[in-house]
Amino acid sequence: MSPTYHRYPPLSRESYRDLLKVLEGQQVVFPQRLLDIILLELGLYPNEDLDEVIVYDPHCMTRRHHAEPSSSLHHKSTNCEMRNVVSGIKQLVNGENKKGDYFSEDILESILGWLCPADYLRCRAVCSWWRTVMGNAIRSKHCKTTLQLPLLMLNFRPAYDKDSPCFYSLSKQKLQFPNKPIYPVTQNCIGSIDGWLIMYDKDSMNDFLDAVDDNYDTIYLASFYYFLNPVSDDTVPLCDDKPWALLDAEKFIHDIEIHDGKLYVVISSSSIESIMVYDFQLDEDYSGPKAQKLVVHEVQSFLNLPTVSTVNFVTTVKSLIKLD
Amino acid sequence: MAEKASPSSNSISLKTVDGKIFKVSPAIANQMLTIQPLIKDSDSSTIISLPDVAAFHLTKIIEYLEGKPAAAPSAVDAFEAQFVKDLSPEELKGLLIAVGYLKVNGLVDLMANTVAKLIENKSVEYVRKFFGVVNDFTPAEEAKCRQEHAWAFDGVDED
Repeated sequence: MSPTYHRYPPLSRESYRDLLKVLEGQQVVFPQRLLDIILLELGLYPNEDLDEVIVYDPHCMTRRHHAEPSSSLHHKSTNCEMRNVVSGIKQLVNGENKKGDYFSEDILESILGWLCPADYLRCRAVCSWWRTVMGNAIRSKHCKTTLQLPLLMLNFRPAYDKDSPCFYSLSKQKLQFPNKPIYPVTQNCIGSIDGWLIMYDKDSMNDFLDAVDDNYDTIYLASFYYFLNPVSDDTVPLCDDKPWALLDAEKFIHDIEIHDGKLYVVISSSSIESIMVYDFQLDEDYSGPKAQKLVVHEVQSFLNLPTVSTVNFVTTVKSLIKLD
Repeated sequence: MAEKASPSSNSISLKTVDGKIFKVSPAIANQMLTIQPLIKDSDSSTIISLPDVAAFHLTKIIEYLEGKPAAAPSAVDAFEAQFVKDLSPEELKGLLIAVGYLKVNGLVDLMANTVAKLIENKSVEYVRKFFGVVNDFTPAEEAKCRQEHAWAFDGVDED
């Protein structure tokens, strides 16, 4: 299956409320259960107008190795389930349930699968056992949240002196400010995929670049990139101890998108931008993900837009390059 | 209601926790994934015991499996809406546990969806009361939990 894209025309920031109304009117086109938390990259560049908003459906994509923790945290014991079911019946009959576990983890997750992210966060506060189940479900990505409308992440901090991006809830039509920053100011968000933010540690990277002199033909810049789950605060490095990608110096990852098992990276430098495509390969012994650079394509010809998301490139580049 | 006429000689007998025996066709029993492996070795004299399923729940499950239209999604939607319409919250919870235990095709999703709709956008207190869950957090732990993601606790529906 190929991803579904919903594209909306370019809009200035002044009319972004109109855009939200456009999105609001699109509710019917989002099939239930298909959309995850979607964090759109609105206003990542505070001095520019919004270029384009793209809503895409990540669940049509193939499995993404890098967004998942290496070890499975989701262990289930049949005996444990049986015990839960039996005690559940008793508790239902007696009308009390001290521990809150009369539903087995499976059943609780099947309910969670129909709830949206805010419901998840509230359910975490119900009791400690629910909190554990919730944590496992989020970490293992085993349990998808449903979503009525996307949650927009706004980075331009409109009229508020906040250190962190805020969210705009399309369903509630209001801004929501996290009580603690989603990520520290030393970190930069360059995109989102499937409910995870794609981050890089800009301070560490700058320190690193300052420390090395001109002899840095190949540096493992990719080790500064990681995925962050804004709900659970989990982070997953883009590459582990063994960096899988050699990125050229003086070039920075501008945007990342994962599509059909391939990683599309937009590289920016002072004058050119290019797109690289990597193919994930998992070792049979799962010693760690590796990637193979497939193609580098310079795309300055269609870089009229100041900020452009990889999704644009994915569609464009597919017509330009044959990927084998 | 407890005993159903068996449509064929090789029907499967299921015994609920309150001692009632239901005869169902293999086609129906096969949609309960938990007992599926037992069916192969069963003959008409075998009785499969279901210690965690009450007669009311099994009646509803059989009603669902026998009544569900084979085609036309709109017909299925109408049938499923009718199926859950008159269930009380207590019946829903009990049925969800029974369905989860038997792993009934299609019905797990329907029950989970129905229960989810009842707790969607509701306060933590409402969810606790709905499921009869006792809060085992200390006040400090709970306050921290709420404070971390305070936005999610605003603007919930009235209980």
